Amino acid sequence: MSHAPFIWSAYGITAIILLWTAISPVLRLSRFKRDLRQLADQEQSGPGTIT
Amino acid sequence: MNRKQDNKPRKNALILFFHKMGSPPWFYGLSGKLVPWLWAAFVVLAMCGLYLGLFRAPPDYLQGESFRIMYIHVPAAWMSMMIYGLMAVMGFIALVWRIRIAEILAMSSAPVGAAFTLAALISGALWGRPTWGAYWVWDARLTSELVLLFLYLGVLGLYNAFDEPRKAARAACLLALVGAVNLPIIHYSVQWWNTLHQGSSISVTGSSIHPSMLWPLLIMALATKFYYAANLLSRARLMLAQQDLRKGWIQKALVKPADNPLEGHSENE
Repeated sequence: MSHAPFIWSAYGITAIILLWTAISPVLRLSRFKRDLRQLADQEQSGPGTIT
Repeated sequence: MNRKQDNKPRKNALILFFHKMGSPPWFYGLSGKLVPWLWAAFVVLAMCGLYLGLFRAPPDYLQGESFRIMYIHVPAAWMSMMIYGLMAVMGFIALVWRIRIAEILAMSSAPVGAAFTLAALISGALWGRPTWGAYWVWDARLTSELVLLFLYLGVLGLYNAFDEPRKAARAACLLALVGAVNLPIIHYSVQWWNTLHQGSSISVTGSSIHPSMLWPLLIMALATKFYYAANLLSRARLMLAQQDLRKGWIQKALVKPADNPLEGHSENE
């Protein structure tokens, strides 16, 4: 039995799991920053405050 | 110099550091500076470890090439336990001293620990098929590691079940603390029960692995520590920013980077 498919599958799946775990907070932080900036722009253009 | 100031007891540098870490703006600023360096250390070490493990280490005389799965399976399994242990310690600190940063760090650890546990279980199954002839057996080590994954998922589920983040974190920290009882079970399972999973090849006193195979494993183990630190701080920063959405310091840090001395250089987009 060739071991290569098992080895590469193990590395591939681990890479996907760790990559997603690493990228997801970065994506969420950038989305959060964008939302916060939009909120700040609305605040500047209209009445009321965020704080 | 003022004599009164001279007689003041000097604060221990470590205590001072922990006091500072409890301050959200200080923690946010410092972690933002550390994260890129931690990611860089992870990438460099992982590349070295993978190169040595996949291309330089000789095949095992019994397992053949499939032993190379060890270079991801073993560090992932170690991390799954280490992260849970740290999560429980931070949970204890959060419950006893009500330190918010400790709550945030405990809750930010859970997804990273769950990812490592999942990686350890899957890579272990893919190693088990060519070596044992089965992807899964209800062996004490494998079963207790699966229970660890469920504990991580339980902590995450409990944290997300509450609307109020601090109440959610306290409930989840308590579960994390109770679940820590599983750690010695995982560690000693190969000694307490007759298991198919092999015993430990590395201990404090030495290792039965040849140095050509051992060094890539140690490098990968170190790389995963940097991965955890970088990922933990990234998640903690996000959680802190979300919790402090209405506070002035986070709006300065994220919306008006130029106004903030902590973030001015890094948050410009």
